[in-house]
Amino acid sequence: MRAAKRPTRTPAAYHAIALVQTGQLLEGMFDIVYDYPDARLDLIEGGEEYAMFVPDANLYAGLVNAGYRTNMDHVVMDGPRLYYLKRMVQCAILNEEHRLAEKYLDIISHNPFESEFVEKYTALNNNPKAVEEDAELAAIRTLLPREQRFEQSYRMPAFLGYNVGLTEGSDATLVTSAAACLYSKDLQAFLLRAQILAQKGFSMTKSVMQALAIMSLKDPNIEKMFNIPPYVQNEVRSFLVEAKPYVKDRYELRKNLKKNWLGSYMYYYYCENNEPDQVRPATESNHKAGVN
Amino acid sequence: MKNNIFLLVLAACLLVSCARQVEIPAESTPVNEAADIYPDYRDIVVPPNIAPLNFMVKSEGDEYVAAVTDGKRTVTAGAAADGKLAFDSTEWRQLLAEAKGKELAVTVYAKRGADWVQFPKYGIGVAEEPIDPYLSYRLIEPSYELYRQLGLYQRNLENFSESVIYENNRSYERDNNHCVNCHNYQAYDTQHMLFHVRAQHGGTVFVENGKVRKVNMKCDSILSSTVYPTWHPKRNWVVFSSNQTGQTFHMVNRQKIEVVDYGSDLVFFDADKNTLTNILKTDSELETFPCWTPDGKSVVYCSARVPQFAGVPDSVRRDRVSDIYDSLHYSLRIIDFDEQTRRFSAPRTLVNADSLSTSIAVPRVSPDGRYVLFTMADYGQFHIWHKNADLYVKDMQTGEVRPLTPANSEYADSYHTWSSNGRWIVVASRREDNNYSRVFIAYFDKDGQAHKAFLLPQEDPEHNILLEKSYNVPELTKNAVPVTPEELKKAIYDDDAAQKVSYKKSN
Repeated sequence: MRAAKRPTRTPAAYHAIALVQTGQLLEGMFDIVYDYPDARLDLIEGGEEYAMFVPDANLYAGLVNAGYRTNMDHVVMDGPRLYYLKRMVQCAILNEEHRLAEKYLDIISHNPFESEFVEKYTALNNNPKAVEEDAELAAIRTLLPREQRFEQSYRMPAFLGYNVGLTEGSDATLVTSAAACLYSKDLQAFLLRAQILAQKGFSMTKSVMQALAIMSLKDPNIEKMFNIPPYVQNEVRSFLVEAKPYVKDRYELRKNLKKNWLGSYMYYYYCENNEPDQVRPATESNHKAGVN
Repeated sequence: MKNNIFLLVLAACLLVSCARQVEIPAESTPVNEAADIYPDYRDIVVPPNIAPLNFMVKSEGDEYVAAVTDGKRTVTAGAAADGKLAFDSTEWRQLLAEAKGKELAVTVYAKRGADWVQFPKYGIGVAEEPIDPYLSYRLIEPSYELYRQLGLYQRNLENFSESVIYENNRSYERDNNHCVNCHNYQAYDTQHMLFHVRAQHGGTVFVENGKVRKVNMKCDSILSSTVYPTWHPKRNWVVFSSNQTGQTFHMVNRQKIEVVDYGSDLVFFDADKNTLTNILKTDSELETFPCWTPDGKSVVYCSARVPQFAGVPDSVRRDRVSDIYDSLHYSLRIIDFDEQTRRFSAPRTLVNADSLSTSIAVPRVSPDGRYVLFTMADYGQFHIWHKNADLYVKDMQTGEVRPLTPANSEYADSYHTWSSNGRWIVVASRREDNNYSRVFIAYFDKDGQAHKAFLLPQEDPEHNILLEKSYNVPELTKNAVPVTPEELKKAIYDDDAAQKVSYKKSN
């Protein structure tokens, strides 16, 4: 993934999912290139490339209802496929909808090669202790939302909009939320989360400190508030010096700074994910008709 | 010639001897455990014309036998390890015809190793009164916004035959994609029926005495689209609600979806003249779910008072409703109708939901006019997504309002209909798994008591588990839909031929 020259949103999303599942999100999320090419996908359900990864991104961000909903959308538009049904089993078990999980497991069991999945999740269904001990589901459970709000209260896609917009959550959500703010370049929202991270004694990763150092360029108080190490400050200054000749041409900026700075938050913040067509338009599905 | 006759007789003997004879085990050991059966057809009352109640046994066993008897005639079925028991339709029909008004005893046996065990017997009552033979419904995923393949179907309740009324897409075409909903019939008769088409080729399809037409119901003088319909029992008049509806998705709440109206009125449609007239048009009251009384003299409906909507534009109402959705309480109301003047009276309240801190939806008046059947839940009106939605009746003679407890479940029980003889209630319920709605049938006896609801029988008892669509809007009819899917498609796709409506002021 880190060797990929120009991954589209889909591998980038699964890279983030893997980091979330392994507890390395803030450490590793800026190690890859965020220069999305136009995937030129015209999917039946609309939403372009987003439809490929949003269901899994929702689920692994702890948004079980949103994950179920977007997998159901796939079932509707693509027909029932084992991949979506399996995800819906996971959503049903996480939502403690045991009979719903049984239904999907029954359907899946009618297919060859699926006995291991059926056995595993039949054992997990109706067994909260086993769910707690399952690494994959346990990681999702740490991110379950606490706000009783509607999905439409947040920007889309839900896994990003929720993490940027939420006002309460678990410690695990604090990390994903901080990461989402960094990804969205919403540094004011990030600052609030950074303060809580510091209060709770979380170790401040390289990308977190670099983001704070960027903010301290305009507000020196931030440097004192977070005790940003001098070497981080120097890194940011070095980056800006190196970037100066190219500031008027973002393509040259990216091309000339990539070799030395890819992996730093400064590179991401100033050089990446800033194409006009990388800002996601509001989802327009051709198939919505309000309430069915 | 003699050889041919001999061969024919031999073939007939072979055929007879190949037919599986299911014998009740001669020896079996009674066990205390109740048989684990699906569907749960234990202690129910069924119509005498219902299709066989095929079921599956989930209790441990290598083979199974079920015997159903009224004391004189016994019908048996056998199953292998899959536990699926299917009764012979002819034998079943004969048994039920003879057992009207009586109780059937069901005994289930399971073979474990070399021995048979016998589970405790249970009963199935057979009512005197039949159920209407046809049931229409829509099949669609319990989805949110998107749709691709959905359809209207009719099932013959006396056997397992299901036929297509209309399907939107056999092969998907984005530019022609459309949804169909709100199918409705006049007085249980398919000679007058309608349903809406949404998105591409939108309009309302009317079937009148075998002829199909599409009407473009758009009219600037009414609030929005025409939605929930109710035919006058005799005249070619339809009262619709006109609703501005949105839906939101819960992040945490397992009810998942909230469907709310931020505006709704009642309108009168003269289907002979294609004219629309507002009946109740208010901005601080949400009127919906109209239902004519069987005598055609009144319309029962639901309404919620929302003073904060007075004088407020659509966009503001749409935003505000998500803040107040769980405080909307719909009461049950009635307006009287003068057929000569076509005027409606001022509303009267039948059940005040505010005083009960609850909310009423989908009122349906029984064919004898005595009962109003409705769902009740904590708030709102789209009760199929509210877990605590249950069926209630108001007895118009005594004024009593009570739940139909034996027919209800712990999950959403919503969208219901009476049979034409008022003895059966069909309801779409999510009791199987809280997500996929299934059709349940409950007896409503002459004393006004409901009985335990049972799942619509299927030839394969596993059908309802494997089906990945929900049943919407079950409606009983006396006869089959008289037009073909092709005729309906032709009318739907011919947008140029769609008729228009005009607005007529009320008298």
